[in-house]
Amino acid sequence: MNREHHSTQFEELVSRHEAILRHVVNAFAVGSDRDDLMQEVLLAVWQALPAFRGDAQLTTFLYRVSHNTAMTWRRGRQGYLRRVEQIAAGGLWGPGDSVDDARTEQLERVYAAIREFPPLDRSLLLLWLDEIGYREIAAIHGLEESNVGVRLNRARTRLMEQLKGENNGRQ
Amino acid sequence: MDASELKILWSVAGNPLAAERARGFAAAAELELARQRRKRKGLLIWAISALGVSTLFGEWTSWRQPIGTSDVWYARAVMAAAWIGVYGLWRIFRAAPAAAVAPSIRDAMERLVKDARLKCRESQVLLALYAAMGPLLALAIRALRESGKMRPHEAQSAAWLGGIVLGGFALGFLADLLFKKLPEKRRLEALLREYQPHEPDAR
Repeated sequence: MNREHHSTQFEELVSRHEAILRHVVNAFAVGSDRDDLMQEVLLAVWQALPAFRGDAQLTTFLYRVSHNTAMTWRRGRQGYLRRVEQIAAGGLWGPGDSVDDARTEQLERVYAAIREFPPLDRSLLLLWLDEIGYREIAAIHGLEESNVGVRLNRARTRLMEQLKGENNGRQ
Repeated sequence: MDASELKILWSVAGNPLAAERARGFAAAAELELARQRRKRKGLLIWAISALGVSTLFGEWTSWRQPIGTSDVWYARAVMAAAWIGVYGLWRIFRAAPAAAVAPSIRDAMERLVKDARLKCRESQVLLALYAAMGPLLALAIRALRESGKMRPHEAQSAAWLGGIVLGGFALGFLADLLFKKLPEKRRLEALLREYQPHEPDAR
């Protein structure tokens, strides 16, 4: 893969599927760490792209790389990425925010509830919310489909209880 | 909020990633990766050159001015330990990102755990080498002093310098192993343990 093709494919992938990246970053990091994690995820996608052979869907590939990066990401080890940040001046988040404040707040509560889960369950919940089928989730993670079902049922029930409890607490 | 309301909320777009900035990042990441690779390559070339010259010079000297067999073997053991260290550097240089080519996250995680274990083992080997190099260096200095090739004050300086350099590197490797590599290995092993099949829900 030559450099120009690599860049074009990366740009297309990022602009078309930015929601995938945004969800995973929000569910695994908070505040300014989101920029750091986003940088690390983008770097992982950039590095992994030449290894993509088209034997899976591009979105499956993107889920696999981004979720894997987020699950293994550790705060405070992104020293060299800070230098990247200096080169790519400014944050990675766009200034325009099309969601109203109430919904943003609701979404943040959902993300906060998801962040309470262990990394694997967190990733499974995100994939379920992104409407990915059990079979594809199983392929992304290398798990049995039945195992995905059991884990997701349990995690989903706990998430809904958590959100319900929070709503009751606020009323 | 029920599951369907949650899904509606989820599908709402917000905080879009700016394509321009992502493009800028890609270019910057490429530069950074190239810079890191150049740096590691430079370090490797420097280490190989320095050790190569030292080894050749040592062998040439012992060939031109034969000294006691034991002196040569001490020096050769020290050089061999240093070459093993360079081999470790070369392996790190050749390491590929584990997650890039794995067919699933579980496979990637297994590779990362394997890689983390390997890194810990490499550090342990290097620490053992440093531990072995201390006595070897002391024996080499003693042999040189007894054969009259080194004066007592030179031997003392060499011992101090060798001790400080070896001790410093050994402490650095130990700290790296205890505070960075072992915790990282444990963290990744815990993540991999999450992939063990779940027992049926008791509720």
